Amino acid sequence: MLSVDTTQLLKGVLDLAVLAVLRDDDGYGYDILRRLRTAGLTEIGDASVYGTLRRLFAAGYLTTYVVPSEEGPHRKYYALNPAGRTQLKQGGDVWREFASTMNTLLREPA
Amino acid sequence: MNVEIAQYAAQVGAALSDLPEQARDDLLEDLPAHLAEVAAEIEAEGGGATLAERLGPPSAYAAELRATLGHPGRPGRAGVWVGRAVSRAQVRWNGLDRRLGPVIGYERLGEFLALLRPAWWVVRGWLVAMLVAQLWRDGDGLGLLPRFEGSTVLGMMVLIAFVVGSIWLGRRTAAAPPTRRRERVALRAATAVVVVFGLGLWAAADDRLMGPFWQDPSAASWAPDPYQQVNDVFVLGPDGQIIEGARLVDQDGSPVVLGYCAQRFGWEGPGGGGRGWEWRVVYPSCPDLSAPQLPWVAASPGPLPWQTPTGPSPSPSTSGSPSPGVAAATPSATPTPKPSPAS
Repeated sequence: MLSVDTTQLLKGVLDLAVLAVLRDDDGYGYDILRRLRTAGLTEIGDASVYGTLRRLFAAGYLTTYVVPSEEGPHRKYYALNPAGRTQLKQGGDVWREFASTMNTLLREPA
Repeated sequence: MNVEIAQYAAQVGAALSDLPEQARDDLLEDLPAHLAEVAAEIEAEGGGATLAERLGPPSAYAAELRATLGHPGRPGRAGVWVGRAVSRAQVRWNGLDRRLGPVIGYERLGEFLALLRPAWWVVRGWLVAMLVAQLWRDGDGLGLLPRFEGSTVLGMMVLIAFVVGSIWLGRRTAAAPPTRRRERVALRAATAVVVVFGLGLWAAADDRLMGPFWQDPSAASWAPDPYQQVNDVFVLGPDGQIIEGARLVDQDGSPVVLGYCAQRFGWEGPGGGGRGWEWRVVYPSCPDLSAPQLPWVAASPGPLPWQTPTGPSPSPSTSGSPSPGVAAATPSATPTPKPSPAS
């Protein structure tokens, strides 16, 4: 039985989705999760976002800084660095090409 | 809550114990801090829920984390190049930071620079006030205080307002740097404008302070007037005696108005508008200014050109009191000054 759900599809593009929500504004972990969910990726799990952030950071696409907060714990913000921006642009190109191919393939006969 | 966080993180870590140490450490390094954020969110939403209720059991969290471990790919070539350049610059700065710090008695140079930040805030406020004042009046002249409509008081008020605002902004951005990229870019661009303006202002001020000493006085519009200190003019004949009622005329036949009395009288012409001043400007022009002591002219008294060489020369004793001396020694010379081209 063929099973396609968002979680499966997301695996391949989670990096790109996380980079994309950091394009304009830096964010801390929970904030990034919220942005992704607000954008429509409601299935996404906390561990996926946290793990992806750590991995992108370790790979050199993100920088971090800590912002003290009056209430609650200090927050670690993630920001795109030049490598991250390049990656976002290249990944976006690949995705658009891929999506357009898939759209063509899946086009229902009129 | 802290115990819960530590427990949850430890359980996630245990479920990932089979991973290579480096990968696991990279993954788990920030987990407690992240869980604290999640806990704070739970708290903010009314509380009550445990981490396990919100995030699922630690084992499931660990499984999800493990699923994100796919190879992220390496940065593109341009990205790598930029990244390397940035990290090289950082390494170099770190070296300088540690090496130059001790020279001025600090562990790191950055430590000292951080202390200077409030000073920069004050300077920034001043520069912005100067910039605004400059834009306000279309750039005529440039002082060191901002002036609005020529008012220094208003300028001072604006200056204080900008300095206070800059300090406020500095404290705010130091406590919490803006997380919006657009805000950050705007702040940096504004800082660049202010710095460039500041350098320009500094160069202009330096130029102006250095100006009179090296610049050609005739070329500089603001060169000092060398006759500023002249109050009156005494015209001496070749015999060294003061000529009363002398006139000074320039190459165009216009009277030379020098000194404070001449100017004063010059503008009191019968025409009212200054047309009559030509004949009023005679030197010495100040009626009550005593003649200068001239010991150096008395030493070499010479005959006037239109006098016969046999005429008596003034005795040295007359040099101390010129007015009677003029009357006694050269009675004919004083009332008839050399005819000027203007007459």
